[in-house]
Amino acid sequence: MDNILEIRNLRKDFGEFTLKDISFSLERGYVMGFIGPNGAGKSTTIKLIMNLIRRDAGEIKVFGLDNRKYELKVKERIGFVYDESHYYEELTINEMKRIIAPFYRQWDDNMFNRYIREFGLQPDKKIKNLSKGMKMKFSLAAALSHNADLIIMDEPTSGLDPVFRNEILDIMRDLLQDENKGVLFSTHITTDLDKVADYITFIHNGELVLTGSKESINEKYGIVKGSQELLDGDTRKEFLGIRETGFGFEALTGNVDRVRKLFADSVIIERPSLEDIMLYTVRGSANA
Amino acid sequence: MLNLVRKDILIQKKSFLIALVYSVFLFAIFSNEVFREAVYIMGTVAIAYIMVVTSNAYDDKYKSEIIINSLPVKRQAVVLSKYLAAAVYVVAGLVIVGAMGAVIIISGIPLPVRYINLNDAVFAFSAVALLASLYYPVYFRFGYALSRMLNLILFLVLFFAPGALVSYIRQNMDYGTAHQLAVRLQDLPAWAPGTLVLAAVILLTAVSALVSLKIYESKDF
Repeated sequence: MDNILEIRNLRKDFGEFTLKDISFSLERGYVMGFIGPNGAGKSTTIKLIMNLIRRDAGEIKVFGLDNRKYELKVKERIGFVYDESHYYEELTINEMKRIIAPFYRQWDDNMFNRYIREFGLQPDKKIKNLSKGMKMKFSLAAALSHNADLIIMDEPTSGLDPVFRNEILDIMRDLLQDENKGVLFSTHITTDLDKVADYITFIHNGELVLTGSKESINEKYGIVKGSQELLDGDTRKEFLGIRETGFGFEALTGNVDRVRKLFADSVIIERPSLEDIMLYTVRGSANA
Repeated sequence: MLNLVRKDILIQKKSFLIALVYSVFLFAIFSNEVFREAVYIMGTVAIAYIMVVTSNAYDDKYKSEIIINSLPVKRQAVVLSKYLAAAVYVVAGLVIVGAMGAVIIISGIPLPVRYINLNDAVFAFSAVALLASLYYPVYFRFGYALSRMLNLILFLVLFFAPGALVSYIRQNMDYGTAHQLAVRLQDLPAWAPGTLVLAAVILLTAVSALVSLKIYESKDF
């Protein structure tokens, strides 16, 4: 298996928040959606990959190389997009490009200009005069113009209107025409993932909840609906999160086969959306 | 590393214009006898100071260190480029102020100005190296806002300390001791004081850079 990104037992302790031994990996040619509620540790994980913060323990390998030992080699091939622009806003798009370009050996000016045209950006416009969506597109153009193999995006769609969001997602999909590339992008908007993600990694409170392909998640997880009488101390333990109403209950399971055996035909099992999985898990852990 | 210095210059093109305008007024304001000798040094130090602070202000305003440290660049290079940039600003300051001085002399504007010389350059370099050595570790450790306060204090000290020191010595040292000290200083060969100062400044800058590197290496963004 050719992993473009591999994370093993990654740990970072901030005192009030700890990222606890996160592990997941991404193969070449795929998009991984990195989800979790605000404050789950998504940005922390991404900053650890980018070596913007120092890990306390664990391993991060990008293209099979340690991200700290081979920092320059690794970053040469990563394109990054963050939720805020962090560019020098007094500069124009072209001026900012002239600052970034010389850092990359493989910078491709033609490609950058093509993206700028495609995205409808005006190169002599000051960054501070761009809308949030335009700034995001500029970040994306910069991230895609040095032949990066791994694109890392932290909340690229947050705060954008649906039209812009769809455009960004389309660009991501186009990018994956090249089977050598991989994309890791974090979001708390789960419908983004239904559109483009092949793999999902879900973290909550600094802990890994699940990671795997979208199909495997669809096979394992289910929303179970049944009447109240079925719930007791033992059966409750089977669920990751339960919502009870006057008429019955709805609950999330991470093991559809087992639930099917246990309850047979007395319950209805439906396929959960990613949003369901996120909501039930977050609520479940809040009740526990 | 040169790309980083280039970045610090490109983000503050305006500062060069400000430096030019400032140097016009510089010669008019500091034309009295006390300051006349030091006008090139003061001008250069002030210009370098403005440029160091301005580039850091932009980095701080947009949290651009996040971008910079995401590029294929080592943290070491980020730190050392800031020291190198300070040296570049001194050169820029010397050129701007020196050229302005020459323009004044050649165009016959009635101001008591002499041409810039090597002494001015050495003193300006030493003064900026001293300031930067104290400023940068604080900047890298505590960030822009706090380091600006230190800057203000340093700047005031630099301007008032020599005067205060002289008056303190005048009041508290009897004539004999002061005279002896002066004689002893005169006994030293001509190159000695300058060389000693230069060596001290180089040592201080090296120590400061090492401290800054250590601080920045473990920083979280």
